[in-house]
Amino acid sequence: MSEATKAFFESLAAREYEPLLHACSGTLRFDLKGRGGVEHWFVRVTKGDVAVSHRRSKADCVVRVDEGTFDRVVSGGMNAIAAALRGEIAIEGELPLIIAFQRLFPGPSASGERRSKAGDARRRR
Amino acid sequence: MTGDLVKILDGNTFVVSDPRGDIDASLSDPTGLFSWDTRFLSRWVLTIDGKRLSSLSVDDLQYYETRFFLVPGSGTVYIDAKLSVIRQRAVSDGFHEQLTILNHDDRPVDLEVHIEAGSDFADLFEVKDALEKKGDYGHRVEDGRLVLAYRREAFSRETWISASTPAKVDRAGLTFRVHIEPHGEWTTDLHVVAAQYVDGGLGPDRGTSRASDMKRGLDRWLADAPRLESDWDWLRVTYERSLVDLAALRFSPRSLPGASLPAAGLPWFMTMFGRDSIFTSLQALPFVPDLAATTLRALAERQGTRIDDFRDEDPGRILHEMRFGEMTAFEERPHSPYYGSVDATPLFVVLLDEYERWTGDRSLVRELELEARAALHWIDEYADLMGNGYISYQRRNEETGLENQCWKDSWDSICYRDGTLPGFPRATCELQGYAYDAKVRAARLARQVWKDPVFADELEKQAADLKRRFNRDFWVRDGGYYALALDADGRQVDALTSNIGHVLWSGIAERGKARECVRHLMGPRLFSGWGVRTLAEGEGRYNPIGYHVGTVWPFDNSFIAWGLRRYGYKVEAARIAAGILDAARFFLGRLPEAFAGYARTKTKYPVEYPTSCSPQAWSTGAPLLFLRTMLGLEPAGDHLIMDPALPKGIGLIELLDIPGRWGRVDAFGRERVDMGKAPRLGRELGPQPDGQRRRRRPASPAS
Repeated sequence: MSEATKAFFESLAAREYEPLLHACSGTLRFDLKGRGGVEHWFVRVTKGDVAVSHRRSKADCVVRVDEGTFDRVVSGGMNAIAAALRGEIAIEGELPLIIAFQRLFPGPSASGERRSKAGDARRRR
Repeated sequence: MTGDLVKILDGNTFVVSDPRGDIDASLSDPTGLFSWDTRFLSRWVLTIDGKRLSSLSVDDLQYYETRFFLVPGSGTVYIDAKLSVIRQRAVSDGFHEQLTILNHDDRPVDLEVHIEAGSDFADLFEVKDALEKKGDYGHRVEDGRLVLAYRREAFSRETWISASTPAKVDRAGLTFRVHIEPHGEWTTDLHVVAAQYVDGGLGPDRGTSRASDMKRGLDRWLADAPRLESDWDWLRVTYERSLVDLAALRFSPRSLPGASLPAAGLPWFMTMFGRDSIFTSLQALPFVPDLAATTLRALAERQGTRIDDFRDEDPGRILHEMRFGEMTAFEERPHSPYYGSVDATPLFVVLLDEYERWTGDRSLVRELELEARAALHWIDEYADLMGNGYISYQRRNEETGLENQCWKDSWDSICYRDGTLPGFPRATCELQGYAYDAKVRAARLARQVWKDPVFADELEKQAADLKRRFNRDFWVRDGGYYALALDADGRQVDALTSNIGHVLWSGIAERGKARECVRHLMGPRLFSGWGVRTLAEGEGRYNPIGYHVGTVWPFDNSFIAWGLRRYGYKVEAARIAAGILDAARFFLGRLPEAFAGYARTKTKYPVEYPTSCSPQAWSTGAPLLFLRTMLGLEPAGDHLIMDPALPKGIGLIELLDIPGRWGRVDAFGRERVDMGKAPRLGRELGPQPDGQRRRRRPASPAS
């Protein structure tokens, strides 16, 4: 299991409540395909309350992706929606769940330099 | 040539063909079967015994269905056909085409009927810009059907072609050996599937419906809308046209099956847009309020959460445009989604409040509290690029992002009086109005729904401060109007434009200054007789056929009229409504995106600005908003206030069964407003006035 993926799910589990998922209820299953086989992560969402586990349960939305690809998504190196349109991420089941969930993935780390300058200007005012 | 194309669609699956029903596209040619921004057929040519056919007529049945009447040969002088051919085509998960051949002779015939099929799988953007493909093509025949395939890495699309009768299938298409008895007929059903990712594999799109369901859906849509009665026949024609076109413009996001929002334009802009979907939802609120609910939900689901320069995304920002094709997938275009509009975010809050005022649906306001707060936060924290307390824009995606991120998004729309262009960032005046309105409206929601009076007080304080500063910094003293924008140095971009009408609509204008703006809006430099020009006559860049520098936009005018009503200028609002609605008559009730800014006294009829998309959603919505402003409809608590002011020439408007928090109510307008020497409304129905040649038939919004 990769560190980035583990850190992403552990941080999500530690939060227990995620406001960006406040309107969602249902279970997402992430099937991460690696050299050692497929690893399953289950994320149960109940109006923003989040529970993360490896324990099998019925999923409303299944996300299938290579471990390496998912690593890049959770570390801001790849945009999940573009990857899904490219066929690198396969989604089955309830789309609203994953559309809400993808908002938790970080943006590219190189972005926002000019933006922070603008923020500085505002703070100086 | 575009004028002769035949278009049918359902959502963002559509077919554009020539009047024979044939598709024979080059890469840059906008014909074909398209679905989710990919072309699935670029060749679809019918021949009989090796010969192409000629079109006798095209019968546009509905926006999703059409019928072609053909005869063999290309006889231009006279046709002596023993055969007739009918192609009836309806959009589905691709399309269904019923091909029928009638033998009128008293002898039997044997024919070779051939459908040639091929696809370049072009992305919509590639069709616009004529770009080359990067993937590999393939084809196979399986289970009697022809499969055309395209693959680039994991990206894959297929077109499946089958027929209900036996055919010889090879890579070039389908061939039928047909024997028809004297006065007999032969028929086959062709089915083309645009196969895309569904549940992890390739297959037909789940969201599509059958022609009969679509007919029922359209009937229900029309029956649910308020009924209009008027002594001015053209108003009824325009109203019905708008309702049917709005039905055709519905787009159902995959995340909200069964619900629909207005896409921006048909067929090339059949996707979710922040600005266009919001403006159209606002226009349509008194008629079909569900559109607004879906728009709000779909935009909220995709609200920005991170900083991404390529997509011009920030936390809280509402998207500009969403696309699904190959170029978006491979990040050659930023539309996954692209966030480069600066007005959609405050307008999102405006729509949420206006929606609640009409429908009383507080549960949606509660559901979207977080998103509304994030949008308000974006206005202060991310949109204030110059640190001067105003919303401004400058793209971070320098390559494929949009330069002008306001509704006037062409390159030269933002200009000084002398025609020169300012640098970036640019803070246009209407944006400050939208921000003001968003804060005022959010304060009401905070107090009444979110139960947060502290936040409400804060928003009201900010709004009052913004209004004071705006009226000081944007007011052009020697002109008596609001500057189009402030440039990066805080200097006024001083051209006189229609944007001051949106300033009125937002409520940010001080009363005295509003009066001076109204004088300009109705004066000869801005008002053409048909409507308010985007840029005033006499400005450096003024051009009556310049996209945003002199043309008249029906959508723009509908919001200007709303602004005039907001400040109590009923007569002026009615005069603008009369001008634009009278212009609609020249387009059989379907207003174009824009028409030329020539003075009405000069041309006598409105000269259409050529665009590839028709109908456009916010032009379709304009007559609806004009009905609202003419009748003076305004929700107040659980009641609907009516304060009609009709233009001279309309004696009566009755709008029956207006839906809202009051249930259903009727509105009547009989008052006559004298507009002085304004031209009378055209009355004749039937043949078009001289100088206008229109191909469109009232039966089809998609022609």
